[in-house]
Amino acid sequence: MKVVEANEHNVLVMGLPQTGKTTFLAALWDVVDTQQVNGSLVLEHVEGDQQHLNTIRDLWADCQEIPRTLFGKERIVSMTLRDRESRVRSRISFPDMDGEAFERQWTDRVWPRSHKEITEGADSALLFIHPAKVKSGALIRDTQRIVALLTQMVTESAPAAEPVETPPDSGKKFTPTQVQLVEFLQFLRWAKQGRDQFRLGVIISAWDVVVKQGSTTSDKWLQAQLPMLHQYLVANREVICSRVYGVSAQGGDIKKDAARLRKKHNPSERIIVAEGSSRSSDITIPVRWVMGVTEE
Amino acid sequence: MSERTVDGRADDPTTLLELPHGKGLKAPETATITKRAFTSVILFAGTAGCGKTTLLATLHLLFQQGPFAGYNFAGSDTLVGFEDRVSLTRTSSGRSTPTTPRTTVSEYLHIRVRLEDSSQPIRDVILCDLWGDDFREAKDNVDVCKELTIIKQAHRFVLLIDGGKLAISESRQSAKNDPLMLLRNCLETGMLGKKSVVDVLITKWDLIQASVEKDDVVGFVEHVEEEVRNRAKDRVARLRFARVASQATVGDFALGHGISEMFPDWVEAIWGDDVPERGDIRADGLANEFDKYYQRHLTGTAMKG
Repeated sequence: MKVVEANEHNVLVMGLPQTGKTTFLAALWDVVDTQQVNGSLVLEHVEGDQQHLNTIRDLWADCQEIPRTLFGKERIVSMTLRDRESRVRSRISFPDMDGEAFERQWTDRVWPRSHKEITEGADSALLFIHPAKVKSGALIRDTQRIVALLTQMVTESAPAAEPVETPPDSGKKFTPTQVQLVEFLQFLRWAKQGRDQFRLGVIISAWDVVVKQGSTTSDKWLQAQLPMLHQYLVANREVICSRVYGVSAQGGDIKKDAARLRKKHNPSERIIVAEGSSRSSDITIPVRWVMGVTEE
Repeated sequence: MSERTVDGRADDPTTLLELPHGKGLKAPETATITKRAFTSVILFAGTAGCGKTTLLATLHLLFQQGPFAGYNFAGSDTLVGFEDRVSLTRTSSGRSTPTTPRTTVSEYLHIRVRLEDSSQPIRDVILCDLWGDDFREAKDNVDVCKELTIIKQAHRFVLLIDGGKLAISESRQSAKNDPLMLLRNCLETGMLGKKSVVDVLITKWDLIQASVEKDDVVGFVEHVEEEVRNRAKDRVARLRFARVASQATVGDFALGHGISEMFPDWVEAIWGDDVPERGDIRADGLANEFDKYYQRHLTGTAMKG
């Protein structure tokens, strides 16, 4: 296994609102701080708002809901982490950015200067997707077919005329998630023009929910649920090197299973990180990969 | 990367900066694409309502379902433009029937695709969604047709014939004559010639198949195709025909019926070996000629040059 030493590494944390970014950060803080998970990265030093980290970690550990990160209340946290095996040390920064700011990139076509600068300075990125919040953009023609099938009617008669209006800008709120995510990645590349290959970790959060619905891998889930995004990553692999991880930072539904989850003496034992057929509690795995601590 | 401030002080971290608009491009804006990479330019021609915009919108929907015609979606500078054209096909629109907004201004859409096995580099394609009224005028006026030099510059000229109107006896003759007249004017003015590659699409094939007098209508379609063949053969480099139903409303047609057979050729338009060389697309040629046309058309004044 070839090891690459990285001294300074900025990880851009991307994702629409309520996709698990802050919960991931909370769990990551616990794992690197407590060193309870075998093989995980180890914390050597932290800079920035440690109170924020402690607050969200405590909420996470107690299976409490973590409040949304609000625009203007964003924080940048920097940690110096050491890989146990290679002993490589890297300083990584996580801007805990407001998901609505990413949403506005699509709807309003603007971003704050701070986001632009963070993006320009990013060395890699983690893109968060919450399975329950994916907008699929269902087509009317598909629902018509379903209705026709259910009612055994053939809907061939001319429908009542509806006005053909210019689509209002508010329609952008209903844009399918995968279209918005592709645009985010295109803005990322636009901001980093001329940059060499960039590592992107795609985090499918609340992975416990996906697992309950049937057996699949994180990559297959992405291909099935967000096919346009999957195609984009495949077609642009020379520029964006990506891996897909299924992550459950909570390990279950905190609204329904909190009592069971709290029984774990070490909350990090709840964590699920899935890649392909492998499974672990080490939430630093995606971070290690995007940092390039290990090349494989 | 240039930046424009939307509001706030330039040095304030919360100051909002503009991102690329993502909408359909105007002619001068296409230069950012054609200067960046070799780009196939595909022109979709036809009278208003024949299905041009619906076809382009359907491409966007097809890629959202998965790879299409052997290609992976690799990006687009006009995702907002595509979304504007499909938003009324979604349940989120609140409509009970899907539709496509009527084009009121000509725009260029952009798409990047790559073969699924990645054996070739990414291909850039510009899809010209031109306003139906532009072609109505070109059909009726040879001088106007001469000004549509984009027809000459496009790598593929895709003529759409409204199958929905062909299926109606009261409208089928005009539905036949309009595109034939446009084709005639394009050939007579030299906008189409021996180096031109022409595709003729009979649109709304689902309506034709659902027609009460289906056999008669299909026979009429074959007659129209023969008329086109007679008019254009030996005068263009290649002529192809297809019957498409982009977003069928009746019958059991899949989304984008008939398009997959045409799409690979559009993508590879500037890369194929069997197509006569048309020469390099001038990076600013597309912009200048069309811009002049619009300047004349909108303001009544002629630009210099």
